[in-house]
Amino acid sequence: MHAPPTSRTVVASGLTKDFGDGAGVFDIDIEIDPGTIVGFIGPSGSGKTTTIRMMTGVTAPDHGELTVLGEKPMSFRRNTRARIGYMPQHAILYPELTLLENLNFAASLYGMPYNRKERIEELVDFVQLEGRMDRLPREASGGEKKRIMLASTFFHSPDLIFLDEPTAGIDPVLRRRFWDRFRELSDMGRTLLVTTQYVGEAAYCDYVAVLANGEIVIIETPEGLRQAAYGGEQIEVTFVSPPSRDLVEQLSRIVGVEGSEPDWVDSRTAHLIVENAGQASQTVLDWAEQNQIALEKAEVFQPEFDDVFVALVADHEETAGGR
Amino acid sequence: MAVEQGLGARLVRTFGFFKKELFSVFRQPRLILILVIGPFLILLIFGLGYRTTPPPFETLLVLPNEEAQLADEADLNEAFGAGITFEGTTTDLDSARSQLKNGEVDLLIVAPEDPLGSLEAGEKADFQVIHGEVDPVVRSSIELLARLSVDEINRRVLSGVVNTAQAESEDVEEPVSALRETTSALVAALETGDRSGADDEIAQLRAELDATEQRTASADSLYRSVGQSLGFDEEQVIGRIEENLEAAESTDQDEALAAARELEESVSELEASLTRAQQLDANLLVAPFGVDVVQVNDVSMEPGIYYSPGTIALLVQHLALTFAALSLVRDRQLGLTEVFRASPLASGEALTGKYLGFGSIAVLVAASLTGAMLLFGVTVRGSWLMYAAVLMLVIVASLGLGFVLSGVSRTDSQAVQYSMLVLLVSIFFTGFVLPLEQLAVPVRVISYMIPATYGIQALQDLVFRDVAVDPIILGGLALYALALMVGAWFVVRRDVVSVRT
Repeated sequence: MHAPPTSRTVVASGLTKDFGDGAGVFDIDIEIDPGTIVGFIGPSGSGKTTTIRMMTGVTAPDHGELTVLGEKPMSFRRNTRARIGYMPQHAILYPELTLLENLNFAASLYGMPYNRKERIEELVDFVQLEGRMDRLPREASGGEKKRIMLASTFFHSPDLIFLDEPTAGIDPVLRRRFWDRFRELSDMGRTLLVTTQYVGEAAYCDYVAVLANGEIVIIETPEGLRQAAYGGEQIEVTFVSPPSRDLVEQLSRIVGVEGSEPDWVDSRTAHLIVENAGQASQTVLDWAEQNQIALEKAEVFQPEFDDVFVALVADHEETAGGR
Repeated sequence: MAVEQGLGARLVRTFGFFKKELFSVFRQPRLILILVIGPFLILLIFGLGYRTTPPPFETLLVLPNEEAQLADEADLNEAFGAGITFEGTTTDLDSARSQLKNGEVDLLIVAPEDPLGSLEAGEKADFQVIHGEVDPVVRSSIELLARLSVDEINRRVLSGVVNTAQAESEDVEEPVSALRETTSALVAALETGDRSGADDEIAQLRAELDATEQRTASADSLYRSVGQSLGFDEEQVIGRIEENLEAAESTDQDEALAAARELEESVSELEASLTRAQQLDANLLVAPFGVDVVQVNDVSMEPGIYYSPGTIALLVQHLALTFAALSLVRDRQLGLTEVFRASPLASGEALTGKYLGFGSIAVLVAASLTGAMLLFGVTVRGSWLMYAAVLMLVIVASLGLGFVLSGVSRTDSQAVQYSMLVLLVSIFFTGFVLPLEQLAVPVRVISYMIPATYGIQALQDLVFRDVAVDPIILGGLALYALALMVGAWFVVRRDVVSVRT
């Protein structure tokens, strides 16, 4: 996220779009470097799409500064627009054109020359729509339409890709394939901004911006999110049988674990917030061995991102309510 | 890496829109059916079923009393022509009115109660035509029919008078013949210097002239007025005869002889004119002038034929306008403008592609309709090149109007409503049905906001008259098409480039 200012792909400061009645996005500050995948995660109406629309030049911001690929989106040069790929939230296809014709039309919008056969085959293979491209959109499922939209977005090999909920309605296997592709593109130096309501997909991102009520709650790495949500890393300790009060007190005094109030999942298992989960779990294992305590396991625990997200948003709302 | 956005990329985008619009339309055969075949069939059925002459009015003749009899029914039918069929006569006006009210008859013709009395009082004897029509066009034809019918009755009455006068004029033959013989005798007397004999002949001539004037009194005025219209003044001739008679009384032998010879000529002239008057057809005398309407071209103007160029202009306009209006609204409704805005697409590229796509379809339709017109036997008398140019301009202007209308349409149903509104306005304001000249000048502003107005005028000139298209019409249409193109560009620009905040 921290590169020399001139090379940053997106720089936003105080970016605001106010639709009234509390709707919109407010004071967005974000800097995105090339070759990263940034996930925008938040509930419906949190401002993910509006943020992306402003960055693509589809919607004008009310306030704030925004540069994308070194230019203000509202006055993008044609060549700059050609470096951007945008997949809207909803599948937008001409109902009278087949999926293939829609893909070709999208390619023509970016001036792609007509020797497209190989590229089409490659993309059709990626979105797994071989043999189904001659169908009209009404004959295709919602997921298939999404896949065509995704293929359309990638057709012209853009440097900066905005994907608004690309995996919504896609089966888990294909969803994973999509994320693998996103990672490949990222490794090739492409920058991807992806919105999603699947909180678990935060794990595939380099950075995650959590949005709520039009504001960015936090921008962090996936791991950083977990720490931010719980105040540190977590380990999970499981005893062979329910431990005594004395044993629990001993556990709380172990170096690296001290000060952490165990969160008991059941009578044998507790979660502990620690500074370094790897070290702390080893320390606990050593303590059990030295003291011959019947411990089933002590390991790094990664809470579900859903829980992380809920914790972060709840914390943000509590803070906002307190203001 | 992204493609360099040069001329090639621009052409690819433009062609992309062209192809997309073509595919979109051809994949909607029902839309083409509704937009082209539907109105075409409606107009075709109208053209085939429309009768230029209205059906005859079923008419009841109301006479003042049983004795009154203008003519027999067949004669009246002939007098009133094809516009009226007589259903009978009655003397009961109230019952006749009731029949009119019940729709049993269309017209009542009420004969004047006392026509002779009116004439004697120096007044016209009016026929009364009673009807219950509310349609202004039908009302006008009734009024015209009534006037023509009364003219016909007047002509028949006058014809009868002339026939009577001609019969009476046969009595004049004898005194005029005597006049001529006595005049010859007068000349002979004067040539031989028989002054006394000449005076006797002059006295006889005066008596015969009085007798002639008395006998012709009844028909004289009629002949006189008709004769004057034809260049013969009988009164002047008789006056000259009287002058010659006075001069023939001169004591100067040569002077009297010269007057007698002139008198002989005048009498011959009178005799000849009376003979001519007797031989003239009474019908010609009372209605000497007819009318022969000549059409400079030899095009048979059956409604189906007359409306064909207008139909082509109207259908092509409707099709182009509807496609254009729907296209932008659909792009907007589908959400594609969002994709366009994020892409390197320029409004000019999208617009050019759309103009080319829909324009090609409209050209195909125009060519098909022209082919159908040729099959119906209507040929283009003027320049084919100009015909094509006019249609192209109509198409371009209509597309522009459609794009502009899409700017004020939020939904496709609104766009269709606007296009139907333009079709409705086109039927009344473009000269398609009613002549433009019958519209008040300020209202014609509306006419010239419709591309078909220019198209109908220009195509009718080219198809029927073989005259050059009025440069004002052609130039006006070109300018209007250009102005609409600029308007369309602004609408597309708003969708493709600018952002609605």
